[in-house]
Amino acid sequence: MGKILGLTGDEATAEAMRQINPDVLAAYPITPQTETVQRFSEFVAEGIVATEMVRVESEHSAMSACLGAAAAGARAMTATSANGLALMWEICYIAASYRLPIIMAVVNRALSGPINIHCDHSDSMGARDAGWIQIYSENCQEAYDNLIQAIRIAEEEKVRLPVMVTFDGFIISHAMERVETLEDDEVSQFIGKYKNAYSLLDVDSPVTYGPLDLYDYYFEHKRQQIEAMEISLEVIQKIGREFGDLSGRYYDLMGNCHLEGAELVIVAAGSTAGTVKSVVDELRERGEKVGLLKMRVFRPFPAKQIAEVLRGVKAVAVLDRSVSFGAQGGPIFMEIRSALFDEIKPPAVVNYIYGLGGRDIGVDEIKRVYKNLERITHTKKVDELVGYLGLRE
Amino acid sequence: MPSLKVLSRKKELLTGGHRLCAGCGASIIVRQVLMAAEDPVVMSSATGCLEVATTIYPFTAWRIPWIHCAFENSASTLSGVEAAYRSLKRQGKIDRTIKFIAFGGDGGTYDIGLQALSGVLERGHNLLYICYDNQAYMNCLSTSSLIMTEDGVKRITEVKEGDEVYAFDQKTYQLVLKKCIGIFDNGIKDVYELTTLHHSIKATANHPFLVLKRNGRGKKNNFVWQTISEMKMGDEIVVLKNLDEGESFKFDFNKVKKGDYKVNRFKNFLIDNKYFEIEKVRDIKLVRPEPTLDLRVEGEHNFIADGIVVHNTGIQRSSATPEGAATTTSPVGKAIPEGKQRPRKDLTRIVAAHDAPYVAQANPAYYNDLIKKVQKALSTEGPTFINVLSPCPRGWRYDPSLSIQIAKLAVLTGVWPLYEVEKGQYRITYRPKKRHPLREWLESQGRFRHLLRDENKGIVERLEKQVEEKEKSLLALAGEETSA
Repeated sequence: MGKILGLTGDEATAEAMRQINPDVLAAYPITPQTETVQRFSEFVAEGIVATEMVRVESEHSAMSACLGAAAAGARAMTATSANGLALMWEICYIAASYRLPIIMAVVNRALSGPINIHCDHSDSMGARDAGWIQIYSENCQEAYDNLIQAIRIAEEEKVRLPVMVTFDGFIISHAMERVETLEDDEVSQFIGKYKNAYSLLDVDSPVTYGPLDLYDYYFEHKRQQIEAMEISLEVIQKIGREFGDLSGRYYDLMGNCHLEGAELVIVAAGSTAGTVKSVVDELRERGEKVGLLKMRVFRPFPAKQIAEVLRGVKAVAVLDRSVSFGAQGGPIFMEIRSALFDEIKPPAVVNYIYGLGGRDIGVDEIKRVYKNLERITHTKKVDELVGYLGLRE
Repeated sequence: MPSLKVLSRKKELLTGGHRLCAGCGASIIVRQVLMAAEDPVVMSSATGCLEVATTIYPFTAWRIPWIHCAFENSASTLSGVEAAYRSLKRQGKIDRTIKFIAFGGDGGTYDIGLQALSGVLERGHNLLYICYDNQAYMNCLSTSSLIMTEDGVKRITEVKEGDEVYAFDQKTYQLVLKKCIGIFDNGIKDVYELTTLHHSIKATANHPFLVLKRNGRGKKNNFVWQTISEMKMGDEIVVLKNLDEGESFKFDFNKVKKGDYKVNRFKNFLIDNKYFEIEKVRDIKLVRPEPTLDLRVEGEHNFIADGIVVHNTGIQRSSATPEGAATTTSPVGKAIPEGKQRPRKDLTRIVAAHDAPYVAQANPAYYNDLIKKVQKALSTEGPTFINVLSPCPRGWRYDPSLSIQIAKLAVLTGVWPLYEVEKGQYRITYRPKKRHPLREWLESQGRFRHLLRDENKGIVERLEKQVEEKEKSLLALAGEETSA
């Protein structure tokens, strides 16, 4: 049995990192990720981890060092937020294309500008095409659990892709919650030993990483990356089950709540899913057929699984905490709507952009969303495809 | 140190068959460096000539573990590898002794990669960073281009060194035959399609074309080289008359009129010129990234591709480009007769200012000195740095067989002093008895040719003064006396 601790999201992440005990951790401080790095630095200073910590001069170098370390056969981790992730951008794509299982905690924060340090998902959503697996966490517990599972997912032989585990800046990163941790031994047994078959440090069988890849091979290599992403869906499910057997907390591609028999469903990612959950519980008690679909894995996008669980639902509202300027709605909305396109009787799907730059969202607003969905099912008419919650207009 | 004879028996760790140019300094430097290393080496390279030309998938020229990530992070990528090594060694998961060497060009080191390098130096990683400094961003035509040669039209990929290709004589506006002295693989670049009434050509944005500049009534018109990125619709460029694609046809030199051709102000052609005319640019659009090649033509630095007169492409200035050098982004003009106007960044001293335990400047012409420095660096604990001058026949414009001679001139003329900084102590490792005049260096390369004109005497004097000042300050740092 592990311990029950009061931890913030940043601390829970640092605790998971301590137990994972990566060979290399390269990081640069940025609010609201800072506490994770600070805490981990203490572990290094006390000598309770074997990790070589590289205190880089920028996030660009953080990701570069992680890439080098992973190519050298080390387990490499980092953590960042917003502008830090943006500075890593170039190298994120390269890390995925080299099939290096780097693990990164992304503490979601609005991507400038103007500068803002609070939560929205514009940072990680912007990186959604970089080739990284993306797992969103609802609370501190999930941030901890997801990070440990991420190691296994990334290192799975047929996957070998980098994974980012995200959680909401301040809302989760700085909120103290009850977190059940595993024993150190349980974690190290669960994640096992990492062996990179193509290590740069294997000087007797030299490998070349990052050659010039022209039109005669590049496309096939991209196709392999696509394949690995697709395969990772079942790997994520398998590891979610194994983690459940160990901890009692089971994970699937989505975290569903009261979807059986639900007619009105909200889709949300991150901490807002928790807020929606409390509304669903309340409305269900009153007999309303409402439900929640929690986005956990956004990349790869579990389109088939989502279409299945939403079958029979009358109206869906997708909450997006980021904007894709000039697009037909937020990133999650576009994916969900597209996933439902082939359904014989697809539900009405609307989008709400909310919480940009840390704007709070409360139960009243969520209740209003369910009301709107109810109206849509009655009038059979969508007045506004993309709306905004909590915005002064 | 073992003799060169002994060292040369070592297995080549950079194999032949890579696609670096003949006479390229980079491969010579890499081979000297790897010869010097006694322990197994893991190397990283920044994006650049060395990386592109040695690892075209599915081939690699490296017999050592090697990694390339991006342009600006050779240092930080290798710092991760080195951190992994330290971590795994401490955990008892690895017991070999391995050395780490990061390579970067001047662009990837002086400019975009300076921050990553600085970070590595401050963090104290146990690695050697080597900058192969060819003093500019070296750089072209799409591989589908058709080139006018003595034997008719050929695809650029079929042109061989030594072939006679047609060029445009910029003084007489005549068609002339010139020898092709080099063909260069420029890798994948964004390619633009430029279209005139009768012609279209694919080339990179920095590829120069010959553009007619009309200077108004009563004034003589002239031609200027402009890159695609500097051109706009309606610009008038020099093209060849009546090009039949793929058709082989002979030029009759006797039919080419000598003398200064005039440009008709109303009709867009060169009066009485049988082969060339002027056409307006109708369209410039980005096609796609494509593999690109470039030719070097002796004497006239142009050739005729797809019926359009184009310049050898070449080099863009970096902060390592010396003052007075002509590059495609620091060209020589009426207003700026010297080319690059600012002195180069003194990176070696910037690195020394980080208090790195071992910093040096080397040159492949002085291989003993270079090898010794590499061995010293590799046996020093902590971050070390060697800045190596890397002659580039293409960018510096000289015959590829002269690379080592030219590298030597850099030392003899004081342009590239050989020294090392050990624990803060400067020491000059080789000093010519008498410094050769800077003119010898300038005369050896096409990039400085404009400086040799009489009207640029003042600029040369200024540059000479700079070399003198720099030498003086280096001597002072090394505690040596200035020669009379």
